[in-house]
Amino acid sequence: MADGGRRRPPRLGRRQGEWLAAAGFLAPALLAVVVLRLWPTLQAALVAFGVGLSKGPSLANFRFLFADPEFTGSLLTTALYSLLVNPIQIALALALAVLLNRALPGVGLWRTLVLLPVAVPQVVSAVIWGVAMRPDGPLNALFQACGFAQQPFLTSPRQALGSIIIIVSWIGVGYWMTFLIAGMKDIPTQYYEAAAIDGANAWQRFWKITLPLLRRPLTFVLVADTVSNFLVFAPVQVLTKGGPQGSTNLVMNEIFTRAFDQGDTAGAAAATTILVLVVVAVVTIQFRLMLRKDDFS
Amino acid sequence: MPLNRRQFVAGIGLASTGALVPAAGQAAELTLNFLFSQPPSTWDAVIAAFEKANPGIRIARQNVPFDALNAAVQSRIGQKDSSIDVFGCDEPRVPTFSHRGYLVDLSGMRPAFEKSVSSAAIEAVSFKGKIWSFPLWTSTQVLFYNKDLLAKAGLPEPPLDVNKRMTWEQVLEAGAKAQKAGAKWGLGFDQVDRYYQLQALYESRGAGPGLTGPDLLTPAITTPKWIETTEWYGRLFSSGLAPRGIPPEQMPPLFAAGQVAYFYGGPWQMGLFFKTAGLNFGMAAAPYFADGKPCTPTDSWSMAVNPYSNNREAALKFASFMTLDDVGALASTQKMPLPPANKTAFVEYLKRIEAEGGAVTKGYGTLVRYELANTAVHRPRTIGWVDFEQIMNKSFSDVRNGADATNTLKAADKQLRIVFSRL
Repeated sequence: MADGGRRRPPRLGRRQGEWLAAAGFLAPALLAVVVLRLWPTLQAALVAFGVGLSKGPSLANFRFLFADPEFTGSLLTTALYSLLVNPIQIALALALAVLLNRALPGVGLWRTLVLLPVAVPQVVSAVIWGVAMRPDGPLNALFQACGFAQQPFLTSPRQALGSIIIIVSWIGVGYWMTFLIAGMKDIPTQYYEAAAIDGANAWQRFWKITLPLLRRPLTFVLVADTVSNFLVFAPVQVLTKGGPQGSTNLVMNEIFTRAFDQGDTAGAAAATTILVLVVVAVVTIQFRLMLRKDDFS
Repeated sequence: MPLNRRQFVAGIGLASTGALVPAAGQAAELTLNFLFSQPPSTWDAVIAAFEKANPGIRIARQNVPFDALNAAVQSRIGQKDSSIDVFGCDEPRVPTFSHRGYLVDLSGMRPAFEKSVSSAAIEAVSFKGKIWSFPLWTSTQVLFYNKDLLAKAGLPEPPLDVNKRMTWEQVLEAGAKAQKAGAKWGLGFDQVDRYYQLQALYESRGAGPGLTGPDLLTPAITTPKWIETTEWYGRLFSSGLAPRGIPPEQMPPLFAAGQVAYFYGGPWQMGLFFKTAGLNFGMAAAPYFADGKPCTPTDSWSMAVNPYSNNREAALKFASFMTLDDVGALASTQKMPLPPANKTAFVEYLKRIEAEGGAVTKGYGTLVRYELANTAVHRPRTIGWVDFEQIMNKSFSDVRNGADATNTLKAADKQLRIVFSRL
């Protein structure tokens, strides 16, 4: 051997080194997950179940919550909101990704403009939209100038949730679009060339090539978007505080109100535990539906 | 050049010693963290005066919006956070906060309080016989009006005289006239949807504060008088006399912009109104219902000391300077024209406002003294206050946006009973 008969270090040793290096790089992130996510979640669960109290653990906090129409109402509002906002945002993000993945003139500028709202703090976006949507605000002035009827937006229980959906979608769609454009760039062009030779039209190419090959980034966007929408808080807190008539009382706002306005820490912890369980259940179902076994190989 | 381990450790040691031991001749400086919800410049004068009188202490300001202050106190002091030393405490929150352990018992300083502030001011910061915070300001409400809009409608200017106050019925009629003559809005509420300002409406009609029972933990908001007054409030907005969808902090700028004929608000808005070029305004006594009695909102901010602060002595010194000290108390009103709770500063404050405001504030001193002594209604002093305020404010907001008064009050009643059961 060229190294004069010296033996190479055994293969297992190198792998061990790789493992150690990987563990070293991952340690800060893992530590952050444990300290900032898992530990508080566990603490919330312990408080929610009354562990450590003289009365002993119980389901009292959960029973109280499910008997409180304010909380059950917030769960229903969140369910309705999630059923509406997630498909809307993903469809819009996908449509924008398809559009801005083409060789349009000034495409970089368009992509930047669509992504820009993410860079604005949510509270600032909320305040600006709040002023725009005031009954005497610029949006209504525009409606009036175009001959449309004025709209109550955030002051109406029928329109407030829809207005919140518009605001969070304005903020989020560009962000999710970016992941989908990145996914589209990974699709080999020869598939499209072959399809074009076979005479496939644009819709068929999208349906038969783009969408199936976008499954993994789409899964990520679906799951991450769903989770982030469960956790929407700032626009609600700034604009409606859950009103009018509880129509925008999403569960995060409900937890905040309970914890920091009412000082009901145990009730807020129980509501947090319920939210975590719901999110985990929904995300598990989404993964099951979207991923195949070979995605994990 | 990379450091070896010994150099590195030595460097750390040196750096930490430097941080702990001040340079020769430099006094050790203590920083007090002060949490509040007013514009930071409110405190310029009082902080400068305090720091000059106490060279070793520096005040660091932390400002949050009014609606976020409660949550900031709850989340930080509720978690025994020692990084706040002094914080602004809305006086009706004293019972709730003392019950939750967020305040320091100041009863040992009672003689100093009695010397500097009125018994009403001490009452406002007391709960169950103990004093819990330092009373800073007190408050009342007035009826501002836009002289130009009134003149356009041929309406007389109401005088700043408690014996000639308008009734709400007259204000509504005149507001509608002003609107017909070109005003965008006939009437505006400064603290729209907030119990602070609306309580006086209910009390004027004899509907009571909305809570009864020995500890004021039984809701009483579904009585005929409460429903009737809430319906009256809702009609102000459904009729188009007053605007919907505008949050309280955007209301004073609306009056300043010349869009509102009559504006029921706090006298502290004078600062903004005087500064606004082209705004020709006047002040009158707060209105009342023709079939009721004159009632005005009162109480204001107090200064509280965090029980978990590591600098309690210095924190007490600062809070006490802002309120009990005559010079400090007057300096606290320099940029926020609210009447100070301090007796000496109160007299000086009235003189200053009357001198600075000219014809607009002529008679203001007499009005403030009269309202505080005769028509002021305190908010219910109960450990359920914070929940009550939050639920009522949401309900008022719903009614403003068109919700049925009876159903809204019934839902709020139910919600209050549920929340009170957790106290």
